[in-house]
Amino acid sequence: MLQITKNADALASDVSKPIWRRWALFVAIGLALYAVLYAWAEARVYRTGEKNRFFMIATAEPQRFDHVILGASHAMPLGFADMEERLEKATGKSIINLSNEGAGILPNRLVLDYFLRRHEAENVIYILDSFAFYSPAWNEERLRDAGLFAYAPLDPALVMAALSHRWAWPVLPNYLSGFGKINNPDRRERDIPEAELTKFERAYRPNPRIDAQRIAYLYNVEDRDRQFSRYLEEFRLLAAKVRESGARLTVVKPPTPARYRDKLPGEAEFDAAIKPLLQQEGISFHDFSGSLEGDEYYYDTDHMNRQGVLQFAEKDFVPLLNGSRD
Amino acid sequence: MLFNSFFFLGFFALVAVLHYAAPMRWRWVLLLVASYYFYGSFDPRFTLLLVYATVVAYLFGRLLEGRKGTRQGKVLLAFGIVASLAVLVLFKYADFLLSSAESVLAPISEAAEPFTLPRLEWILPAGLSFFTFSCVSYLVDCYRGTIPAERHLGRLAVYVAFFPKLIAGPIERASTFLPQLERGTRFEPELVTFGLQLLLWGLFKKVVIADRLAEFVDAGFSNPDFQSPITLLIAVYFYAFQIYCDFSGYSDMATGLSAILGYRLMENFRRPYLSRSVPEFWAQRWHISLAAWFRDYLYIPLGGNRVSKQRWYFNQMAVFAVSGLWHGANWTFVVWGALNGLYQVLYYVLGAPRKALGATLPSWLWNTMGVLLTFHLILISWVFFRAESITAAWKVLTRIFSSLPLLPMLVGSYNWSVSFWIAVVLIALLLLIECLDEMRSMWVRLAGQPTPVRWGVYYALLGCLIVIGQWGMTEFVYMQF
Repeated sequence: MLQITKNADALASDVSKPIWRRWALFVAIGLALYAVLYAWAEARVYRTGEKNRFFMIATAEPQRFDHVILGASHAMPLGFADMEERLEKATGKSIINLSNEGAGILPNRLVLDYFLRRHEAENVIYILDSFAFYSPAWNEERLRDAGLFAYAPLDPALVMAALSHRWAWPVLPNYLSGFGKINNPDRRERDIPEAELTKFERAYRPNPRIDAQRIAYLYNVEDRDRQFSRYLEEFRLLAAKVRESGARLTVVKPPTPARYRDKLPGEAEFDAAIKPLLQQEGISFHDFSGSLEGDEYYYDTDHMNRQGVLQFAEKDFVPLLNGSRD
Repeated sequence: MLFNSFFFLGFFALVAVLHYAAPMRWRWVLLLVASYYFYGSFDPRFTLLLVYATVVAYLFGRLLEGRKGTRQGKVLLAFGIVASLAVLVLFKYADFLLSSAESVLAPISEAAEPFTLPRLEWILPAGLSFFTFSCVSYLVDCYRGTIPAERHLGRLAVYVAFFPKLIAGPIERASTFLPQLERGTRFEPELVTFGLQLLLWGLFKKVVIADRLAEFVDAGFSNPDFQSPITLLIAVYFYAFQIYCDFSGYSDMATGLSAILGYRLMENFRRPYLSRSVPEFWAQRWHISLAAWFRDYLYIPLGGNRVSKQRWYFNQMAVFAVSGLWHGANWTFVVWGALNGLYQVLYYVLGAPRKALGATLPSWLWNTMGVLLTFHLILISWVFFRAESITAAWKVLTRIFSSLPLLPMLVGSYNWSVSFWIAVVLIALLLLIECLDEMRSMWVRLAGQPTPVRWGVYYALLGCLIVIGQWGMTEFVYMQF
């Protein structure tokens, strides 16, 4: 304590009387320096941004896309490497993949709302995952992840989209302050998902322990029934938004291997609950979950690798995008 | 709610403004509410433990006053200490004791079924060991007559729960804290400025250095069987700095936050890795408030050094073994404590040859050797502190030592990432600052600089926090104790 007193006393000679004025000056200079950092980080985003969904929406020419793909990580391989170009070539239609890792209904609603403020869509394909309906970890908490906005350019349209949803307000301090961009540890790296860079070409060697860990990670939730009805309602609102924009919503269950799919907790109950809702809303539903069974089609427990995406595209997805499956 | 979160910083700013805006006589209410809110943010049920600890301290403190040396006083003190420690034992040690008893009893059990004892499996509330020790010191001081028993229950409750020091100390004494509460604090710009400096430096140590090193440490200790010796070696060295920056960062923040509110807490760290001996490390430089606690409430009552040599060595070993257990209910902590006790005893046992050797060498060389040896002895003990089990710790050490001749070859295979080099530069910077601080306080040096230099330093620290800080809401290592 003596040391603290001595150190504080050493400052006494230094701190002059108009302390508030000095502190105000300190804060003002600090804010100016922060603004410089902000500008630097914003400029960096335009140099390194690539696959961040907010970046893609902000930097694409305003247009009417034929297909907008939403969902979580199971939908992401459809946009990995050259897959999107291949799909566009095979269908002759414009496609934008806006799915995000671990993104439940709420992150998808925010992405869609932002997208519709800058572009238009003919069709919205929602790649459905049951885990996203059971936990705030994939919804409200996922939105709080600063990494989600690490390459999101400052855009009033995104601010307006976030403001229009109460649950999205917590993203605003991070987004508006630009902290996620300034503090981004991967700022020197290209903005490409790690799975795309390092895993997409691999084939998975099954391991029951890792499968079980993955499922426990995704489905670990206590009051799943209450959460389910809440996020089901959010999904209904997402469907209403798509309808209001004049687009057509299609829901797809992505391929997953049986060794993984059969262990998902309450999957049959989930299907039984979601199907009547989709029917009631007039939304077409395609269950491709059993479409690819071999482990050679997956790069890990449950995500399609290149071979899987190509096979799935040829067999099911391209016909769906072409409208030959209804 | 962690110190290294924006939510806490906002919460604290509000508390600080309200504190100075509130009339002096009601500030304790604000501090009490803020402290309970802070603690309740971890789990609201745990605030009941604070209430319990406060009520026990208050009642026994009043009963103990003026009973120094009496039989009644001794009995009351024993009851008070047992009542205070009961919660700690239940939450922290019950399962450890049960599992240890199980291992002892299992071989002699004749039952057909494997012998098992039930477990409580209670979550350990953050900071329990810290505020329990504060309460015990208060009771002993009341008994000894060092301080009068506090009449004001609210102020005593603030002493127990004061949020800047609640989770990981310093273990402040009532004799220094309660008078400050009673007197009240006024706004002192120098103290507030110094508090802000400490807060900034503490945040820097935690968010910029400790949490960056954590990545390398976790990689090494998570599965030592499958890590390369170079990964393990880096993990061991980095852990020494991670735990230092994590814990001293917390202490700096705690002291800084208190200073902003006008309260002075004791210094808890004094450049520990510049210690020239293990006794110096523990007695004067590392977790000073805990070392002082053990000195005053365990070591001296055991007889201190005013006993036979054998008994003195035993006292030192006992204090370190208990200190190990205080840190955690695991045999790794007991080994860690015993190892440090052994270092301490050996230091004194080898006193004569040590002095003779020291006399033959130039003082700078002798001091440097002392610093390096002390650092490496402490480094080895940290392995037991960090590892999941004694087997894992032993694995880390044996794999490193057995691979020492191969290290130059292994260096080439290690992934020398940018993050690694940033970590090395940060450690070097920290050591440089500590060396300069050892000669003359950095704060005093800084105060003597012109404003642009001083502010430049603040902006640089803030810039590092914002640009390379790891704001992942990582808990403090010492919170688990």
